[in-house]
Amino acid sequence: MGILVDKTTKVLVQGITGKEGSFHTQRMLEYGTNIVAGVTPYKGGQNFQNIPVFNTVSEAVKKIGPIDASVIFVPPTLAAQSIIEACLNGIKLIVVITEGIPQHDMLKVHYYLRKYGCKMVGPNCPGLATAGQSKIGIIPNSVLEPGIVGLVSRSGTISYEILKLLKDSGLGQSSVVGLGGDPLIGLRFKDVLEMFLEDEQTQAVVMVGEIGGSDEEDAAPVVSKLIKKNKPVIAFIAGRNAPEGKRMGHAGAIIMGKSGKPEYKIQKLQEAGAIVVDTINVIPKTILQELSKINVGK
Amino acid sequence: MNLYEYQGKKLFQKYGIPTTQGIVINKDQENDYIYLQELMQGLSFPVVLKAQVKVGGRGKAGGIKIAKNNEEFMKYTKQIFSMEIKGVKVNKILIDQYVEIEKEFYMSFIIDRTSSKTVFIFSPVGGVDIEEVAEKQPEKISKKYLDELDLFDFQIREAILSVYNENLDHAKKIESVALKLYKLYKENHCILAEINPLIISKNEVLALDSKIITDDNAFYYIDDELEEDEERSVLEEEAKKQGLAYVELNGNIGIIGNGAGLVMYTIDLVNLYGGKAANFLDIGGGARADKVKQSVQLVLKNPNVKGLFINIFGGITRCDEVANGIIEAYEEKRYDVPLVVRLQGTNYEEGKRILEKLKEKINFELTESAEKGAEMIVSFVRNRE
Repeated sequence: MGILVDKTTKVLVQGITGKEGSFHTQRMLEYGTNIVAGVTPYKGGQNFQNIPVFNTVSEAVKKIGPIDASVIFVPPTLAAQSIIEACLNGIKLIVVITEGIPQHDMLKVHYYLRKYGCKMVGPNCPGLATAGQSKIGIIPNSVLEPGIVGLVSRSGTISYEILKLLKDSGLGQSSVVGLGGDPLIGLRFKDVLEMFLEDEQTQAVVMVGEIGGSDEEDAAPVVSKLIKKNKPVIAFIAGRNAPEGKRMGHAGAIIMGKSGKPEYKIQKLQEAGAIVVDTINVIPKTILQELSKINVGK
Repeated sequence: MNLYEYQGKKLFQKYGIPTTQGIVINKDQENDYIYLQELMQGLSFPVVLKAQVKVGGRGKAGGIKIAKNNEEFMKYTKQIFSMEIKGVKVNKILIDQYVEIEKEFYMSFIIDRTSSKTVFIFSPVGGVDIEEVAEKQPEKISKKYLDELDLFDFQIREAILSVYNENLDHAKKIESVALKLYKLYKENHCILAEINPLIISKNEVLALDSKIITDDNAFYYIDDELEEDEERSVLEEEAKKQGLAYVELNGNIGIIGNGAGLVMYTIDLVNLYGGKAANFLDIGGGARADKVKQSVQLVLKNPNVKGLFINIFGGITRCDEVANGIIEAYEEKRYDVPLVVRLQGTNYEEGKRILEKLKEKINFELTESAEKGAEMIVSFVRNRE
């Protein structure tokens, strides 16, 4: 059982007929994700890989019945509306892949998420997966392998690389969540770490942070809880050499004045008991060492 | 985008926020005496000369001067144009009318990342760094998180009156400025819209400074006029036109990678092994050969670059496309800098085969490990020094 999804989770794809949407729907189906419907306005009535396409989310829910999760592949100017549409139609988990959504649009989105109690992952993220069961988003299928490590990350490519290292080392992964590189995101480190705390399959956690914002240090109390529960936390922070005031690709990766500096994040995570690594290639080895210490302790 | 003070004040005027109406002089007008003479005839001294830079601490660095006559005006103009404030050269000076300050306030609307809400911040302690006020006199700061979709006037009123009720006439005028600032903040997709200080002078409110940061994701809403004055290097300007995410840094090892996080990590690795990165360049997900080629060409245009490290972990991005892009760039021009390419993931074997032929031409290494790659490029560059 994964922390957010499993093989029974019914998934809707918004923007299913677009270039990105259709490509990744194909990959998700190959992984075994239970995709039940797609939405593209005014393309209703078509089928994509035997998946029915509807004009609106409301139409999809009427025909298919309740839907658990939606994944958004809609261009940035329209994406906020699509998220709100999913939210108003009772979908409780919304995964937003789109990059470049204006922040003022996201302020509106967050108002509706609060009001209707919906969870959002992203935007500007690779999505999430429960290894061996279901994948929602664009994480390459080839790097996923069921196992014991939970991964939560603000960076797509680095997480793919770590997933591969975990797969090759035989540790594998329990659940994976890509939080997204934007300033205003849905689930944050602390939310996902809380889920790993309760998840039986997860025996160790890797968190990949980066400069900007305060989500890493805000998660420090949950890191302490994980350590107390004998679940080691390995952390990595990207952007240690980034200059102040410059946006490093991700809209959220920017140091402004005192806020968002890597030294502070690293210090707070270390104080909470996380092992902060300088390079990612040592992550599997570090996890194995920590797990063996715990076993000796038992 | 971070706006200059004078640009922010133009926006203030557009939204009916009372502010000073200054004149901007450019560095290339510094020696144009006829122009400056004419300009001075129109001024009524004293005037304030303010360096236009987008970094904080301008006042402390001497970037603000009061000139009482022509002589002082000429002297300070020269002085300020020759300054560097936190490494930023001064290219523009704003000449503002001098005004008597009776009281200073702080006011801003900002997007708060933690709560995902707009916050209105107000303080009767203005003209100083607000973070300092927050540390030393937190009771003098009022913060209002806007929970609803819209802002109501009474929310602003509550916030202002909770920390300032000495003069209700002033408070009323401050409220009116706040509502106009909110309109500006929303319509221009601001991440931050700040007036510090907002002052009382002769019983009227006046915005003496502006700090406006707009959202780059909302560039299509932003005035082109504001865009023109952005502080970018020549290569950053070129990158923007080509749609490449490029930031210039001050080292000598060129960096290209796929994914913002991976590129940041690559820069960190190069630094970890004792080198210094010359830039940040993210080709994004699923880049084709032509984009890779453009990226290589752009990075190698920087004369400081003495070595290039390309770090690719292929997912949607295909290693063979990347390899073809590199080959195309090197076929078009003979670059004399060592190259290290790290490839992993989708179509890795194919990419490797394509790149083999580069070995005859240049100092080139291929690796599967990002860490090894960083170590190699640093030692290549060091050996050439």
